[in-house]
Amino acid sequence: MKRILVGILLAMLLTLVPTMSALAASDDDITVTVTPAYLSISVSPDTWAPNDIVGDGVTPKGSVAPDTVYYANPLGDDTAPSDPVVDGECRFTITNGSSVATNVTVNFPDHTGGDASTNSNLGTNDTTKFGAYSYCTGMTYSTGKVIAKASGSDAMKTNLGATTNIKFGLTYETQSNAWTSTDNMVSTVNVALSYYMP
Amino acid sequence: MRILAVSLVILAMTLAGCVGFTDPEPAPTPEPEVHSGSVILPENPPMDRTWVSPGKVQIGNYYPGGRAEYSVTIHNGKDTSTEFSVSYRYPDNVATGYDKPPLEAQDWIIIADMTPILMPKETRDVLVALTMPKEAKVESKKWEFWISVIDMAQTGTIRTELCVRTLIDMR
Repeated sequence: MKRILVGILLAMLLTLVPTMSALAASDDDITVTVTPAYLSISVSPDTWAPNDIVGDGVTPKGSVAPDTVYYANPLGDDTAPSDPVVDGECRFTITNGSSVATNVTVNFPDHTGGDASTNSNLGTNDTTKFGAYSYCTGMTYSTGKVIAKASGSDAMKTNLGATTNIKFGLTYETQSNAWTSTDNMVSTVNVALSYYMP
Repeated sequence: MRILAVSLVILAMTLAGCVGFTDPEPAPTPEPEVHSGSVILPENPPMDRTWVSPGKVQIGNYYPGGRAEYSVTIHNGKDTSTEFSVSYRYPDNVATGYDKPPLEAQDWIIIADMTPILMPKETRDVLVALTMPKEAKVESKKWEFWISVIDMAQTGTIRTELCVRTLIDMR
C-alpha cells in the first residue's frame, strides 16, 4: 500500500513540474506599449523656387546659376541668415499641433528632370551634385545649420515643444558644373515629424 | 502512512488548481502568439487638423518568430476625402541606445491598409504587425524603425510626413 502511494505521489509530482514551467513562461511574453500622444504638422508655404524671392541681381529671377548658393530667406535669395537665425530669415512656418515634444527632420532628395542634380549629402556642391542645409529660428547658422541629405538627415530641431510653431529655411548650392539642360529640375523636400526621444 | 496520504490529498488539490490554467486538450501545432497594444489618446485631439497616434511604440521581449501588433490611428482633419500613404520607413535618426534596423526589416512589417482613403474628419485605425521569421538574425538587441504616414494630396515641393517611432527590445 505504502509503495503504491509513493508511486502515485511521484507520478503527480512529475505531472506538476511541467505545468509549473508552462505557467512560469508567461513572464517572457512580448510586451507592446504605446504612448498616448498625437503628432500633427503643417508647413506654409509649401513651395520654393530658389532665386524667386527677390532675385540675386545676376541670374533672371526664378532661374538659378550653377555653382551658386541660394537661401530660402525672405530678406534675399543670396543673403545668408545671421547668428542666431531670426524668424524674418526663414521662408517656411511649421504649424505644430502635436501633443508632445517632437523632432523635425528635413530631407532634400535628388532632383528629377533637367540636369537631375543629385544630393552630395555633404552640404557642399560638386560636379552634377548639389549641397543643401536646413536652418531654423534660434539656431547659430554658421555652426549649427544641418546638412539636408537626400535621406537620413540629422534632426534640424529636436525637442520642439508641444503645439509650438517654428520657422525654418533652406540653403541650396547648385551643382558646380554648367547646366547641360534648359529643362526645369524638381525635388520635393520632406519635412518629417517624429516623437522626441531624450 | 498517514503523512503520505495527507501529502497526496494536498498535492491533488494543488494540481486541481493548476489544471484550471492549462488546456487539457492535446497541444496543437504552435502558432506564434499575438501581442498587441492599443492606442489611448490624450483628451481632445483636434478635429480640424490631420494627426497620427501614437507617437511612439515600444515592443519589449521580442524574439524571432514572435508577432507583435499595434494600431496606428490616423485622423483626416480636412473637409475633403484624402488618401494617405502608410509605410515602413527606415529612420533618419534613432533614439539613444538604439540602432537602425537591418535591411530585411522592411519585409517583417505587415500594414493592413497601406493606402487608406479617409472621409472628411474621419479617424481610422490601421493595423501594423511585426513578424520576424524564426530563422532571422539581428545583431542589435535594441533597434528602431518608423511607420510613415503621408497625406498624398500634398502637391507642393515642401511635403510633410508624420512618423511613428517603433522601438524594439529583443529578448
